[in-house]
Amino acid sequence: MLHAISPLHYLVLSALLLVIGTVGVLLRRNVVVILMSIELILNAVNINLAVFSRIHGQMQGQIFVLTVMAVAVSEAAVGLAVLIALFRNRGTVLADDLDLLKW
Amino acid sequence: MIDGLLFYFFSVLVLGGGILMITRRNAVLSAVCLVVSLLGVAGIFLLLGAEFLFVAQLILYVGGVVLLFLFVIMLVNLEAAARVPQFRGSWPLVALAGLGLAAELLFLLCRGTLPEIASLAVLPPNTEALADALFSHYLVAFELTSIVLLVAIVGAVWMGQTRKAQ
Amino acid sequence: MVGTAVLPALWLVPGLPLLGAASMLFFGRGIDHDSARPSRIPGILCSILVALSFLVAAICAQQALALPGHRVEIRGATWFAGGEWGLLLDPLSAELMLLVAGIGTLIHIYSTVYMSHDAALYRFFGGLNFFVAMMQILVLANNYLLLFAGWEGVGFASYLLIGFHYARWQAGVAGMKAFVINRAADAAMVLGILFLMLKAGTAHYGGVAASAAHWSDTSITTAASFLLVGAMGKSAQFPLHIWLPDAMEGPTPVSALIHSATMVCAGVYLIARSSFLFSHAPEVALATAIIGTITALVAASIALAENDIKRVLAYSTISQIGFMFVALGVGAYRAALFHLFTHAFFKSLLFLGAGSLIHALDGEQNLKHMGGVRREMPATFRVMWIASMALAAVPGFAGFFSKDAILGETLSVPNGWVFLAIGLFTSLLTAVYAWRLMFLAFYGEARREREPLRESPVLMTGPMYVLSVFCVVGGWVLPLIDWSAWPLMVASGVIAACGIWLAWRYYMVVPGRRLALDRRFNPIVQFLRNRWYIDALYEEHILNGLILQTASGAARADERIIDGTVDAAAWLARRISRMFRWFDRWIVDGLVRSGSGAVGFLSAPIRAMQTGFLQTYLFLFVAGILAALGYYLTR
Repeated sequence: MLHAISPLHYLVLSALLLVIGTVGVLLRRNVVVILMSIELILNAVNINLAVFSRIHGQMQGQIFVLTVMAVAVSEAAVGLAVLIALFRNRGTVLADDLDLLKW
Repeated sequence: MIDGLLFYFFSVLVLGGGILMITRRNAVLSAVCLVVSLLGVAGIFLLLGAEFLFVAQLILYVGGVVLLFLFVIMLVNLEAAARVPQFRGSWPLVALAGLGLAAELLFLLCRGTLPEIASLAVLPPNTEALADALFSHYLVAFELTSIVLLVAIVGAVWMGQTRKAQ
Repeated sequence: MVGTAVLPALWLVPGLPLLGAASMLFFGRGIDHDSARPSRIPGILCSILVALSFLVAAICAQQALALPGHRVEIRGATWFAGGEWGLLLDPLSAELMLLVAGIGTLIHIYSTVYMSHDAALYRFFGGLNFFVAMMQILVLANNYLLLFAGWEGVGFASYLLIGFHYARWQAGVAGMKAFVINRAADAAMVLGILFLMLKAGTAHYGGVAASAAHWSDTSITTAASFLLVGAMGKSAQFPLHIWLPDAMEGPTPVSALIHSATMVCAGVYLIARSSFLFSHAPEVALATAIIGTITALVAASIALAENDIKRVLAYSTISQIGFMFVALGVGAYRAALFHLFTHAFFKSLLFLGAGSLIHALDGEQNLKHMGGVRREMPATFRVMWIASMALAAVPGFAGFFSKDAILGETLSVPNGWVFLAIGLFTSLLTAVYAWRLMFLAFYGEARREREPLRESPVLMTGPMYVLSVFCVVGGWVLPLIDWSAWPLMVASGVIAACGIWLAWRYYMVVPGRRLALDRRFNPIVQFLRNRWYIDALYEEHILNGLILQTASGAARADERIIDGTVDAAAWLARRISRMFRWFDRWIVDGLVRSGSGAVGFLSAPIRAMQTGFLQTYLFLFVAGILAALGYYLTR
């Protein structure tokens, strides 16, 4: 089992993390947890990018990672602000109660 | 061999933290597990030779995003949310889909071929190389990213305001 | 004077009144449309036409009777095999023709005043003219068919005029009664005429007479009996008399002309015309005499108990015609016609006088409500006095001679004394009721409060005066007085005097005694008052019996057949509609519902996807990714 760690291992890891994050988004009713799962997905993507940057020896991948991090942070901030506004109006953080997509 | 151990250690942190996070009833616990997971990701970055990313991950995610989450968790009323069922009624279907997705991805990955990994000796120091690339070739991206952050800040502050007597 | 060339003008005698009737039919409504102000044109026009026809009749009669055979016949075109449009003018028809035209003219003149307040006068005078025209046709016809045409015509005219005030239901009912009873009798008459025509091959009087000489006794008897029944209906003899009293619902001039002077004598005329039959059928003749006797007696007895002035006169008419039938039955044709002649005058005068009374009394017809009129209406009183004298057959007046002629002839048949005895008794009754009427109406004091009466206008009293003259001289005019029967005359005179004295005593002097007698003999009084219960019998058996049965039978048929058909149609409609409903529900609706069902079925999964939850949509994303990856896997 402890043979050499190839990039494949890292890619498998990121794939699994992606799946875990996706399941979390689809599965949980609490919007805060959903947002946190989205962070997991983003992190999986970051790992992927870092791996390929290492394979090619180029910096593009890592710059992309920085950009993704910045966007993830902004998205988390804005998303939480929206959540707070929603909570103020509706008094709930359950996704089931936020069903305005279907009038 | 150390590489392997460290890798598996960090993987366990990442995946274990992740799984724990999505299954906790208590939101604060979920946030803590998220921290664990993110720490594991930082370790992975380190293993990949991306030190700057390691630091950035720690500062931004662990010290920023998760903190934000914890603040919000304090602000919203999670007592009531903790009492209702946490998983959607369709969780078998979702679990199935997740498993299917995982299976497909893994299968695809194993079928493909990857190029040779570059040797570490050829690489310049990580931070310098990153700064070189960032401020020369990718300056526009850098600026735009800062604008995105600005917009996000403004938006978040504005939306987070308490409205006066609506 | 005027040559025989004028004789074809005989057609004018019925023709002129017919013209009057036609003009009233077509133009009458236009002329007389305002019921608030009745037009005088109908009355004047029709009176002139009848007067002209009288003139023509007089001239023609004079011409014809100057001829050797005292008769003239105008033969015309054939009408039905055996009948023809032809006229015969001989003494018999001349007498009646002049009677009808003369008295008709007088009554027309009288009516112009009497009916002046009525609306729709054009109908009245049209009907009156029509009657005169039809009666002339009846009288002047030279064959049985044309006679029958006139017969029916006068019946129809009589129905129209009796029911002139059709708004009063009694008038309508009376008109119907007259028509129906006449119809029934006419059925027998038609059979008789057909019988004659079949046996003789023609309807012409002369032809039938010639043929009848060879017939068997039974044939003659049969024919005569049928004709007798027809005559009984028209002349209101017992038991077919009930229509005449009810016919008094019509206006008084109608009663005067039709029911006293002319129409009711049509039966007498028929039998007289058919004398060749009756004289050879002794049984039928005897029956005629018996019927006449019974009729005379019964009618006179009822007249004693009647309180309506017109009904007294109606029963009097029935009674007097009974006398005429007696005369016909014993073969005394001339006597019968003599009495017809005199009776026409005094009876029509009595009716006109009664009309004058009723007119002045504003419609009052009950004798018990009158009284003391002679002081206020002297002219009417005088003429009525003369007419009543004639009716009671007081010596010297017209009725005396004619009735005696009849009574005298009764002895010419075996057991004729029975007829004589009953006839004399009836004469007594006649005198009593005639003067009962006079005393109750004109003498004594007014029995009811009323306004002072005024005498009638001259156009009413004038014709009455003319008639009164004839009531006196009528008996002397025709050379038919048999002075050799003077015992009978004396007896009649005494009886008349007795009758008048009885009436005077018990209605004027001691009415209390009469009332006492009435109470003692109450059953008889009631019997008479109810007209021998004949009307009641008719009503119960024929009206309620026969007619009611027919009517209810027809009603049941209507129910079963017609309603049954309607019900069947309804059932059919229901079944058909049920079929349609099934079709509509299962097939039509089925198509529609299947369409909508398909849409619903197809959209159900899509609807299930639209949950409104973000996570559902995200799940679908993932599912899509799975599918896409799966696709790449298989490549």
